[in-house]
Amino acid sequence: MDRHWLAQRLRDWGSRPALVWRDLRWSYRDLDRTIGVWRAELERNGIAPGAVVAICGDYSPNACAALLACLMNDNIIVPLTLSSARGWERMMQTAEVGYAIQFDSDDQWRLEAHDRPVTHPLLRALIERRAPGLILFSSGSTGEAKASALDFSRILEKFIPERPACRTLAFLLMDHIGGLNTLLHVLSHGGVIVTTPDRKPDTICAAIEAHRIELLPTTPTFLRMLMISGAISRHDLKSLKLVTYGTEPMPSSTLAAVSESLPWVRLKQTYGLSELGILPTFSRDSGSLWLKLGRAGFEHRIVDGVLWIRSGTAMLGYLNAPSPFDADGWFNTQDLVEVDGDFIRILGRKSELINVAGEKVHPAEVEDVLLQLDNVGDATVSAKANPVTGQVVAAKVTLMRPEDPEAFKRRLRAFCRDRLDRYKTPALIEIVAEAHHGERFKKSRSAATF
Amino acid sequence: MAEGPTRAELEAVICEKIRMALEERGGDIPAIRGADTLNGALGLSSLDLAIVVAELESALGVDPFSRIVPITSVRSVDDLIEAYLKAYLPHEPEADEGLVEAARRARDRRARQGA
Repeated sequence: MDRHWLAQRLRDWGSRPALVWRDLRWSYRDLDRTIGVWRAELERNGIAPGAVVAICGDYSPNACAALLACLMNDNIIVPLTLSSARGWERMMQTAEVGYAIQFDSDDQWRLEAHDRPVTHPLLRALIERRAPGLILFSSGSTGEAKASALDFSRILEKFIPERPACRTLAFLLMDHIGGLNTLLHVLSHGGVIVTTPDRKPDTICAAIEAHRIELLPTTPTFLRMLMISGAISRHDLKSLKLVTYGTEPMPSSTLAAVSESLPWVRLKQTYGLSELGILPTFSRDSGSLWLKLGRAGFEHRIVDGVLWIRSGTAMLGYLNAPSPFDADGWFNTQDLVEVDGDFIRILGRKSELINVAGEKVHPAEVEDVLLQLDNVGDATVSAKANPVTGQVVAAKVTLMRPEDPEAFKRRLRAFCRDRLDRYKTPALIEIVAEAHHGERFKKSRSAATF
Repeated sequence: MAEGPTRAELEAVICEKIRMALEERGGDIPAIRGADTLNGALGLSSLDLAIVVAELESALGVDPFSRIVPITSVRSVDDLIEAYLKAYLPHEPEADEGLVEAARRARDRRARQGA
């Protein structure tokens, strides 16, 4: 059996802790041994290089080992998590999955074989050059999830040079480019991945305290929940050195609150897309939303205020949609940005812009103001069709304590009057009890349909 | 169809929402009468009117402007009241004027060919 560079690296880390799962420590030696068991299991089941394998689960030791074994076996890997379980069958059909390994919450597993030949030209191309593949599904809530097919060996290349790694909490799910990036970065550089049974603020804070977590990769929505829950004050988080946030725009009010609550922690914005990979980024400072995009392996340009990127780790294409790349390989991220020298600030998705009588409104800007209002726990802003102005701004708001709805609406509008142009002030305000995010702690504006 | 509010009830809700929009804009709030033109006498801007319509849809649960009444036909407070009254009435689907016109042209063509 050929020794993959990553296998050698894991073996070199020896007895160092690699993974903490249910408070049990797995060393790199344990992980290397389990990967060996999995490679034998793949062979025993006739899972040859090029086979498409779905890994369904969370960051349990067996799931991590199986994923790495498939990677070293040059399989095409489809990571799936419970949050998308309802769509698994469809996703597996799209990805032409031949084998599905499902892991339960106790890390027990079962393997199912499916009679699906691999016919898609992008997958055939990966097989012909014996490259491991990765298929990631977009988490968009409208329409069919798009399946990005990537060459896993290209993604892996950036982890070859040795770099420092730290004790990291596995917050982003394994089917997300950010989650996989975290897992591979930490394991290839000898750090520790700490898993939690759920992603509630107190569970996360307790894990940070118990395992002296240094790096928390997360989302702005989770950080806001962290502030609202008060979990920060119930736990000792002094071990934290770096919090990275991405996947959605960060409201400046949330960033300011986190910065004030965790003054010893460096806050860094990340930027990545499953279509492109994770870009190196550099935040101007912890309290700043301005970031510089690194150039190693990536190029970027701004066209009409929209960010375009060309990447060496870009996907080969979608399995179920036309290629989004232009003739020169550039990808339109649809993210609207402001530019200040070498720095950019992400304003939000172009498709989420609200058009009020020709005036453009960024939902994130309005949400940022609403979140500064006393008694507002969370706020989601979206467009509402209107016969007079085409669209108006509509806001769904969750209160932290009961308040008379009409009095609250008056208070909200008065608060907005001094802080927003009038066309940006929500014309429609709905007070809701439910959470504004899904399991991925990413704000769901589609859920804000009025 | 469920029985809708009376004209007086609708008038009260509509005037309240107009008053609210005027309050938010600041300045003096005039007495609101049925004959008052929305833009002229009351000085409602397009944004004010958009807010009023959004609030009314939220409060009343109906939107007369999606199919029944063109918003461009609404000039006064009374027009607004009439529009919402219509929204509560059972109504026939409107004839597609384009289709009616196409049918008329086809009839004319057949008549000419037959001549």
